[in-house]
Amino acid sequence: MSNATLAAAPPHRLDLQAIARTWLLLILLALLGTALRYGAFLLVRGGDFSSFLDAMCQFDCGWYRGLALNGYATGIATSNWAGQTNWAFFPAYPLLAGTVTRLTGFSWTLAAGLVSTVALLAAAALSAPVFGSNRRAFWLFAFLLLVGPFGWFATATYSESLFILLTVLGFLALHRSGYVAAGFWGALLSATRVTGVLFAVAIAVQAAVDYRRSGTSWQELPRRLLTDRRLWLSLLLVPLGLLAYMVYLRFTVGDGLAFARIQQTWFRSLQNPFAVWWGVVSNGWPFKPGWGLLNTLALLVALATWLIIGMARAGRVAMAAFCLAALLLSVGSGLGSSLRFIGGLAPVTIFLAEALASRRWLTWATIPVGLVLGAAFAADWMLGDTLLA
Amino acid sequence: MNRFLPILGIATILIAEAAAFAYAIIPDVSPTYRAVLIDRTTACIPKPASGTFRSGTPIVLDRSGDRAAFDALNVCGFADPRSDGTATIGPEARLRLRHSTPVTLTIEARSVSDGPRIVNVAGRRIEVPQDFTAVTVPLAAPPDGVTELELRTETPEGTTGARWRGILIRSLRIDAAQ
Repeated sequence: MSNATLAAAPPHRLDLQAIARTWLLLILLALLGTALRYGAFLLVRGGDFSSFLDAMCQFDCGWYRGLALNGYATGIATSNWAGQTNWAFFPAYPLLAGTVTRLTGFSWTLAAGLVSTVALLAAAALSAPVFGSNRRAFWLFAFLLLVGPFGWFATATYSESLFILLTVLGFLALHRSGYVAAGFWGALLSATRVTGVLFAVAIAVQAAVDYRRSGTSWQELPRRLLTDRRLWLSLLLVPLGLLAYMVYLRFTVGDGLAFARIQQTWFRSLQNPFAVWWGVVSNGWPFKPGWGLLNTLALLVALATWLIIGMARAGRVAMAAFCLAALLLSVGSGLGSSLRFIGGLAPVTIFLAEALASRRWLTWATIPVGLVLGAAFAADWMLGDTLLA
Repeated sequence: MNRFLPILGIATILIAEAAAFAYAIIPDVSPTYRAVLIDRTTACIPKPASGTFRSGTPIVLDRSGDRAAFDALNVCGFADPRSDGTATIGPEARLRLRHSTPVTLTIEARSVSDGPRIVNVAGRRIEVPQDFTAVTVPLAAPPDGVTELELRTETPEGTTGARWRGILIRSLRIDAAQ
């Protein structure tokens, strides 16, 4: 089926000039995003660029920095009463940012900020084939990622930036029916965040979609899937990142599940996501005095679910399956960081960009709204508010 | 033979991953790790505490207090200070006191919940009400010069895990016994 698709595609010529132009514009967008966030910093705090980078280092940034520079703890931390220990943070991002910090000699905030910015730039640039000929959607995606509401990922030194890049690379591979390559990116995803292992769901769903599109009947589908060796290999590749981390933890800490168990010290435990969501919504609905941050986040989760349903209806079934699984896992451990988790799901932003690009007026309206949200979210983050934490 | 090679390769990866997973999920950990993170029977993670204190001087446990003075005694089971005191977490909180003569420990505390909390200290069962109350506990001279004092709060009904708040302590004072 993939061969047929490839055969039907027009011959692809590498237009180096166009690629250079695209990268140049994306770099300008990234610079604009940085300038916007720095402007927000000058408004709320003031100071030089180094102080700005330090101000962007909030919440878990300290955990990532400690991890990148000193490695994982071998026992439960006694530096805080709850016993919060850095096993909750997956290794790929701190390993990469820590290596860049050591190689360049830059401060953690600068080096990790560069890694995050380059990851988002690469995610935006490499996403082009996913949008096909819809250039407006492509540029909107780049705008949302580098300047707009999710631009603060570039300087917040969190793993979301790398996760977004790897998700784009994984879906790009799936877009080309490259299951094994998708499995490889999935392995890196599962070493970046716990939800990365759910990329296996995307691969399995995409394989089913590809078989159906090639004319395989529903009756024949299970047999075709079970006997597809490429699919098996790709699915087995995905958990390698997570398994490597688990074996490392078992070897050093004595417990391969330390990354999950330590979540309780942040008062997170895996529960029924629907019950968690309804528990929050029913507590503050409609506009009771008890309405708070969690109620707002519950509404955002509903909005993200609506986008995911739209994604599936638009034919992006594998992306929708991945996002839904990741969202359910995130919400199941609490609504606290939902906005950040949703922002870290690249397919949601891709579909949002496509939806906003469907009308010219919507596209133009997105730009001022995106600029305001980009600045507001950065300011909110620097002030230590928990909306995005 | 060639037909079976990929299947053999996939089966090998599958078995290797299953073996790695099995190895990873069977823990081999310290008793503290097991109690805190696996069994969830306590939130007490013992840390070094010197056990030194100034006799007769109250140690204030709210945010305005001298945290270093409290940290010298705090082994485990206490949350971060609030504006009105420091709460014990879960059933077990411990203090370490270095003394060679009998002393008395005065705890000014209240229950964190709607009702009273029962706390066992040095063999005494104390009902801590909702309003701040001072409770004095005599401590005999320990043979090795160090008393490791456990404040064991009885688990309230319907509570699970070990991260619930027990009592809120406003101040501690250690005096030489009369």
